[in-house]
Amino acid sequence: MDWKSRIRAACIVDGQALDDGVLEELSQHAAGVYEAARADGCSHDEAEQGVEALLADWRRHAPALRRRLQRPTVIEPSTGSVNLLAGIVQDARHGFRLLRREPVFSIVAILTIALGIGAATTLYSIVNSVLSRRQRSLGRWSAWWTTCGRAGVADARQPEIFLPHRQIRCAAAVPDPILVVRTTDNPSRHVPTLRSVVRDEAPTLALDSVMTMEERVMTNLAKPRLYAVVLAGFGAFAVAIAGVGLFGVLAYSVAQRVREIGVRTALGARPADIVRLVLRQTALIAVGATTIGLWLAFAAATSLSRFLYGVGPHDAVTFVAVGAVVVAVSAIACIVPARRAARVDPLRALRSL
Amino acid sequence: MGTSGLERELKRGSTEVLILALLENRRRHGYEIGRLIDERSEGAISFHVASLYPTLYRLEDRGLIDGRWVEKARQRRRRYYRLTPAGRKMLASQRTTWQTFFLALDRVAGIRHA
Repeated sequence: MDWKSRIRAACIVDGQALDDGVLEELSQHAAGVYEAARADGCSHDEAEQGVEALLADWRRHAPALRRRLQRPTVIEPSTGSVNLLAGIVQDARHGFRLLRREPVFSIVAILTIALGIGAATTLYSIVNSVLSRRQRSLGRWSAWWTTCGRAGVADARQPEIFLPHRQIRCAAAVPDPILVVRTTDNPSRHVPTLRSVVRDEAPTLALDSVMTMEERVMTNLAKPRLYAVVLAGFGAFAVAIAGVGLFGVLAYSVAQRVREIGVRTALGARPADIVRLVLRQTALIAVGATTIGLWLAFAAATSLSRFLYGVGPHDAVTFVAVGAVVVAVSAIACIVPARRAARVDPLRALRSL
Repeated sequence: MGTSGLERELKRGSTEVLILALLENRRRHGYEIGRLIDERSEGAISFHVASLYPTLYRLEDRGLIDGRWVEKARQRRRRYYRLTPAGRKMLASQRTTWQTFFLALDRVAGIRHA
């Protein structure tokens, strides 16, 4: 049934017909009325009579139905859980097409961010391992330490023998002896007693650098701790650089696509669709850069392991945490360009064609 | 004014609030709005469908509702209407007005609504 033609013919007033959009809307209504009447058991003639009565009323109201504001059609994807996976696949394919269109830009963006991720992960992984070993070493020293020596915390335990001091006549044999005293209470209280005992027993010895074992360990670890803090700072800087770089890359990419976004908006794309379009490209860059960066970090940490002693270079928690932080930074870095893209005025964008 | 005249006046005044109320929770197209008014009122309010679309267009011109053609996969496009923020405010205001009106009717003439 061609309701549209019949409504157009019925609703011409002063030589003017209704707009196509109004005709389409009224014809859909007429079709609904006809089908409802037929579903209620009416014959074709009876249903058509109901629609004819409707047409007569619309003819009387024709002046109020004329000239509607034309707006672009919104295209909605069909709903359903099956389509979620299909949507993700479609987004991924579209993202790859976008990246393939600008291969140099895509490679530079991914590698730059991957280097930032790799550097940050390597640094944090080693720093975390060193700092956690310090904690374990401190516990070990305070729990069952019985010998002393010039060994540092990172050195392996050497075999040692005890010799009475009085039997060592030659001062060159032990040029700088280290005296270790275990106390049952605060060792600082016993320093004066210790000085007088040493003075009585070995008058030629001068006590110097008197400190508790905790202070000794902390002093020993001061340098590696400083290195760790500095490296952690560099790591944070690398992550920040990666985030700023990603923001700049995305802002540039969106600026290059203003015309395309303007055309899409003119064709009915909603702001959410434009944001989704930008996020597609970002997700692929972030996933690609994170994968390459973590692989680089693993390789770099492995090659640095020969410079470390008693410390594993790969810290799983750090790898996962840095990956998660970079993904979060990527998401934040792309929101501003995405929202800016969604606000592109289609008229201004199209005028620049 | 006879009863039919009173009904006509009441329907004319309630048309806009009926449409706004039906669009409060979700968007709908014109045929659905007319059908729902008929179903939910159990026939007491049967829209003269000819006045439905002029009313919809009038509400759209006033910025109380927003009409858009929506095309879904494997379906023909349909014009859906949704409430705008201004429309929500108008609906709230109309509800208050009608509630006040019914309270007054109740006080004066003993007419209670369900």
